[in-house]
Amino acid sequence: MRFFGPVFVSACLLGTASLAEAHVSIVSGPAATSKTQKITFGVGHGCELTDGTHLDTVKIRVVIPAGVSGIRALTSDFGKATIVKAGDAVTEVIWEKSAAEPDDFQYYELTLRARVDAVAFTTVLFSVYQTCRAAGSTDDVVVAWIDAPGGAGSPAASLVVAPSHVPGWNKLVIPAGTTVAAASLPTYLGDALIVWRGSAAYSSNAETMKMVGTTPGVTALAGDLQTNDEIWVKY
Amino acid sequence: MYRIIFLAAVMVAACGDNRAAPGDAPDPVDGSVPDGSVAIGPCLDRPTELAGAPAGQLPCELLPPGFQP
Repeated sequence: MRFFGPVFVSACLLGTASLAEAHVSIVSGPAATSKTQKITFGVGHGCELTDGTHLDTVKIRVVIPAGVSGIRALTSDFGKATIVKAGDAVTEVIWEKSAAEPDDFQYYELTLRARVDAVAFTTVLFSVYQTCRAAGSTDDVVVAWIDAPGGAGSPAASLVVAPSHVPGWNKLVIPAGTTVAAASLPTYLGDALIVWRGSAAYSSNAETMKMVGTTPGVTALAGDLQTNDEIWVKY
Repeated sequence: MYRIIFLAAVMVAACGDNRAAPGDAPDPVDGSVPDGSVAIGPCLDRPTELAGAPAGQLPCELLPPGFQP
């Protein structure tokens, strides 16, 4: 046990920079609002100590945020999940395995099924607590992925909430109180073939955007989408 | 024998005359409009134009319903 003792473990619990980046993220893509769907968390790797030691992940605890309900957890490589409830509502899902691998070579995916009622064009943050351990050890290292994305801390897992849609053309209205920044179009509408507001169009496909630029009467959609804006989106 | 003759008669009657009426316009072969420019209306305006590799401008299937340039 040369790599961590009580002091180090405490430092990790406080979320200091003792660990290298090991982001736990949502890998199932955008969620559709007002629908029940699978949400998958990808654990890219375990914990890396500052001396380069890699530890396997033995436990993932996911806190269920507001706007997400109807939780059902799938059995994973960690076995069956444990559900924590407050009344009838599920507040946490915990996946835990008993033994750590001798090194950190595993990629884990942990899935739950849930209904997402958050407003479209928003992002829901899941606080995730990752526990790592050396094989044969009982000392745990916990990383709290709870900070706002883009900051200096450990980012929470972000669930992009997109509008419900069907294949083909969809006529959508930006919800009340919502502004979609032009820079966020790839986040919320990046999987669309093309998005139109009036005669202005956006696509995440660079070739399509080239054609937008060469089609008479058509401009590139550059401004923010505002409340009550009507857009045509083809998926 | 009578059955074969009957079936042959039915088939001949069903085939009819497939020749176009003298006043029919020829089918368009591309997306061009009479003045030679390329129309960019929605696909409903050009039902005979099948999806193909784009040629510089947005193909009609990516133009929204009711789009007017």
